[in-house]
Amino acid sequence: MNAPNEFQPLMDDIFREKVRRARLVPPGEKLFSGLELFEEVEERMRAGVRQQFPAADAEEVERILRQRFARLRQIEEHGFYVPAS
Amino acid sequence: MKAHEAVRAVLLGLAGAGLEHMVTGGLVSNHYGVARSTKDADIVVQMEPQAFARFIHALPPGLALHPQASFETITGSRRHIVTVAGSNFQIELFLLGDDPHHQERFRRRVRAAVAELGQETWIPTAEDMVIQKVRWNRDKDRDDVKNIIGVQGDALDWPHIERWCEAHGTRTRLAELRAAVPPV
Repeated sequence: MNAPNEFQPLMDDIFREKVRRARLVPPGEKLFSGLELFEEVEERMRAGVRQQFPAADAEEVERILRQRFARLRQIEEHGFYVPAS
Repeated sequence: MKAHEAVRAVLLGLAGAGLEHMVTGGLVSNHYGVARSTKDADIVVQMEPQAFARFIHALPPGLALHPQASFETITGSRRHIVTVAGSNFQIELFLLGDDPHHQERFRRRVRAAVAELGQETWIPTAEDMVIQKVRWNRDKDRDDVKNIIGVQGDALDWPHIERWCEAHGTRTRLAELRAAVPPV
């Protein structure tokens, strides 16, 4: 747990605003919202790969993108899952 | 195939095969808390081998069961992954095991409306989401817990949460997370 710092009041205000907005979203629209956000994140990551590797064709961009997602999962799941035999 | 199409197909497939299930993980954190992106959909499935085989056999083109299953190390849940062609999204099927809280969480599950499905689906209660995420305790889990506590406010059944956190040895962690949520 981080010790409170000079930015804590600002962080608390941001949190309150996030919570107030979340409370306004109709319940039926919330469950799948993460899927829509994923599509946006994936598209931004794809754009990032294109910018970093301007010579890469579409297939190469997708290969690098898959590699990045695999790496993210590897970091997130490290020590959390073990292969079933 | 887009992520929402894949999740929709899997949920309809599970129901069609007669497999009892519930959505959990990041999607449900969004339902009870603050929306965030999630690169996988977690679904708990009560295993019936024949029905599961029917479900896998009936998966539409673009969805496939990954050959390697895995175990989650904290509760021992067995995980199967459904991959989605043309997407980096994946669907994780967790088989309902003997863990006492997982059993109770499944018994207490509730219906939730999903506009994109045009119907309801099963999800855990907000309290059971908090208990599970306090137990997992990854960065994103701690954020989800604070967001759920913030959004749900006084609606949470704290004695239920505290009883399970006591059983899991996570009462101190719960108290720290709760104290970190500013009043809204």
